[in-house]
This record gives sequence, C-alpha cells and structure tokens, in this order.
Amino acid sequence: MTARINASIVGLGTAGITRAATPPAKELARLAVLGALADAGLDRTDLDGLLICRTSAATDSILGPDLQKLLSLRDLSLLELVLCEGASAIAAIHTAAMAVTTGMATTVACVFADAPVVPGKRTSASFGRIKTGSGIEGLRYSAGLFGGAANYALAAQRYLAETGATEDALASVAVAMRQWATLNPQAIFRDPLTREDYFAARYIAEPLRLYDCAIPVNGAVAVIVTSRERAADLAQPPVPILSMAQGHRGSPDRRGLDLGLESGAGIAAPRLFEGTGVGPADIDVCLFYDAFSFSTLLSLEQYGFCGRGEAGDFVADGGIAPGGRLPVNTGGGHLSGYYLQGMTPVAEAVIQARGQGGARQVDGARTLLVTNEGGRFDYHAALLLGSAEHRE
Amino acid sequence: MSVEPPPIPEPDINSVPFFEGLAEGRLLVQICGRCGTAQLGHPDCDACGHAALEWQPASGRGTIYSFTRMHLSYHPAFADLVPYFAGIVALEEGPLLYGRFVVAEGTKVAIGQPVVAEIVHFEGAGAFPIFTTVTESQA
Repeated sequence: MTARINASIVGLGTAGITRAATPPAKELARLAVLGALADAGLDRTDLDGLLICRTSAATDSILGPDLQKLLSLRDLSLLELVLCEGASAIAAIHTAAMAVTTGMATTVACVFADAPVVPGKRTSASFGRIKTGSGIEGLRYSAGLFGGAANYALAAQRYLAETGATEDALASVAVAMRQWATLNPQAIFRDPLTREDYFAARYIAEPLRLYDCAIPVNGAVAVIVTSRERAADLAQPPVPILSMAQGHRGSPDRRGLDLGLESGAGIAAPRLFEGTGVGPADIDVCLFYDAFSFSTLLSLEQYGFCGRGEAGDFVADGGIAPGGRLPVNTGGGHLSGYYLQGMTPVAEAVIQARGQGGARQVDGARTLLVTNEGGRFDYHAALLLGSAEHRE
Repeated sequence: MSVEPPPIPEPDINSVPFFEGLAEGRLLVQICGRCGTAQLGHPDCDACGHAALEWQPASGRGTIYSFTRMHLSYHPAFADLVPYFAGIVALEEGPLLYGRFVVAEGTKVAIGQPVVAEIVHFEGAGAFPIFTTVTESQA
C-alpha cells in the first residue's frame, strides 16, 4: 500500500558508534542530525521537521524535544517523539514520509541516539536493568527473566521445538553477520567468527549464546526525509520510499498468539507488498532488526522468503552471507555491526541503495526491505526502499 | 540466612485482586461473565470486550509454553540459582504466566511438560508462584 507516498531519504548522518566513552545521547543526536544535513547538502534552516526516537529507558532529560533548541532550529512545523520501542526509527520515518507527502512539513530529520556504555561496566548492567515492573507482566522479573536475551530466548526455544530446527540455524546467522561485518569499516566486531567459536561461547539464556546477542554501543543515526522532487536536486543519490507498513499484534498473554512462530512482521508483510508489484522474490537486500540472531530466522519466514520452519535451511551454507542467495544485514547487523536499535538497518539500507557499500556493496541493490522489531515481537514497522534508478 | 527477595511487582489498576489472592496463597484468573474466556490483568474481556470479569481460583496446574535456562545473574536473589530455568506457563484455564521452574526428580523442563504452581511468600516483599515440574500422572 501507500502508493501515493511522495518521500525519499536524502541524508544519512552518524555519531559515535563506539564502545568507548562518548558525549551524552543528546549531543550524539545533535551531531548525527548535523551530519545528515551535511550529507544531503542541506542547511539546518532547510529543516522544518524533527522526529526523535530513544530507548524505552531514556527520559526527556536524556533525549527530548529540546533537541530542537540545541540544533538552533526555528519555527518547526513538526516536532515529535516517536516511541514504539525497537520499531521507533522506522515508525518515525513513516511519520516523516506522511508529513512530507501531505505538505505538513517539507524536510524532516529523524534521529535515534543512545549512550548506555560506560567503559569498564558489564553489558548486562547496561541492558539487563533491574526492574520490578508493575502488574502481572512484572512477574517476569520475579521469575528471573531479565534482559532482552531472556525474552528472545523464550521465542527461539519455541521456534526450535516446534520446527525441529537446531542451534545450527542460530550459529549460521551469527557467523554470516560476522562475515558481513568484516567488510564494514564501521562495524564494531570485525574479527572472523567460526562455528567453533560460536559453539564454544557461553550461553546467556538458552538457546541463545554470547554471539546471538547484540552488544550495546554509544552512538546516533539520523536520516533526512523530503519529497522526491526536492530529493532530485540534493547531494546524494535519493532513496525513495516505495511502501511502508506496521504490524502490532497486541496482547501476548493469552493462547492463540504463536510466540516464536509469528510476529507483527506477518501482519506487516502483506500490507507492505500490497499494490507495489513487489514480492519477496524481487527483494535484492534485506535489512532486518536482529538484536538477537533468532529474529532473522523469524523475519525470513514472516516475509515469505521461505516457509514456516524452513529458515534454518535457508541460512545454512551461507544463504544470507556474502555471496549467498539473499544478502541480509550487509553491514553485520546488530550482532556484529552496531546496535542502535531501529536505525541500524535503516542506515545500512541507505548505504546499499546509494551503492556506497564499498567491499560489501550488493550489485543491483534496487529494492530493499528494512524492518524494525520492538518489545518481545510486540511492535513491528517496515519500509520498502528503492534506489535512485527507481525514480518514476 | 538473610537473602534479598526477588523483585516483586506492584499491582496495577487491573491486578489488585490477583496480588491480594497471592498474598492469601491463592492463584486467581479472570473469567469473562459473557464468553467465559480466562485471562489475567485485563480491564475488560480481551476476547469479547465484555466489562464484567470475575476473579476465580485457578487450579494451579499448567504446562510449559516456553522456557529458557538463564546463565547470568542480574539480581542478588538469583545469584545462587544460576543456571536456572524460567519461562512461560500456559495455565490449565488458558492464560499465560511467567514463572521460574523447579525441576523435580524424574522430570525435565520441556515445552508441554506439566507443572504445578506453588505460591511462595517472601517476608515483607510479597508472594508469587514458582512452578514445579511434575510427571503426567501427577498433573
């Protein structure tokens, strides 16, 4: 759907992307927006919209609407926080595209920033924050299910049990991500990773081992969205938004929602492809939200690249690795690239669509699928992006 | 032995009777007065929208819906338990509930494995169910 969307991504900026100490998230966000403007060949006076995404742990004082003031942006016609956990970045781009299409704004920056890493402090201390929660949902912490790994482990365990897939499938994803990352100078983890290394690493939450889990970084990514007409005159090859869709399943506490076997992606996929003339067979590159390796397996199935329970076979023997049948997460994804939530797949999609991927560039990357996953597969948002050659 | 209790949530507006029940040693579920769907912590029926839900005792029996074995301790209460099993129980009545699993001799943790709830009280902190695996004949 969304055939009448008139919007392209025209600028990409990053800041930080390191495990070392950095300025706070708000400053990283400011630097990323300025970087994206410079990349697009725009000035800050060209911006009339600013959409801000942050982690669910952050507050207005960490990153809030006052980012406008730090950027010295005047008379904005659009300023919002867009909060949908891991799906926030693409959700923000959806809002930007709608605003640009309707004329509510002409040129909108979408930014995500996070700075959870304190050098010397354990990763689980950054992400497995001690919470008590409230209500019945909070009993997850009473049960000892802390951190994202526990959530995704519960989904992965069901998937393996129901489909007969093995931990080899998870290993294939982790190893493929590292292969891509070795080709990406911006990736955090670029040392080769073998299957033996994968299986020798400790479990975090079974069946997930160390290399199934993203590692936090400090950093920010911003993109600039404007109309296709304006996009044509700017500094970079424009990346048109061909379609966009979200899918949010709702209450997970009753039977009937098949944890690990379906997600919001299954709802979003038909909405995304509808009316575009594009299907899974036409996708040249996939950029999935892969905070945990398992997410990639489920994404492949939910978007129809393979049937239910077949993702393990799909990723075996380098199916999604460099030279494989379907390039997935060509920057190394969250697992080996960097974990800046929903902006990680967006940034890599822009790089690939422009043909700026260097050693990891996929030839003929004309139609790209980009996804965001939030919560425990609670929230899902997706983009279908084209390349400059796509302009009608 | 003084050990810090595990985190126990505060009731929210839709779960006060549930936590009161736990304090009294009872596991309760909400039953819809119209369609009979059992659920947990909803303001109105998650299946049909009916406003009248009644808290009723659950059997305490269920099966493992999914599980993990946690290998890291994020909280002092779990430091001596690592690695421990925890996951989601499908209660006999239908709703899904998070819990830690205690593995009884002669049983294992697996999807579909029967479990029974034991409500454990932590002095000054509250109470919540911990689930013990049981054999089919005990279920």
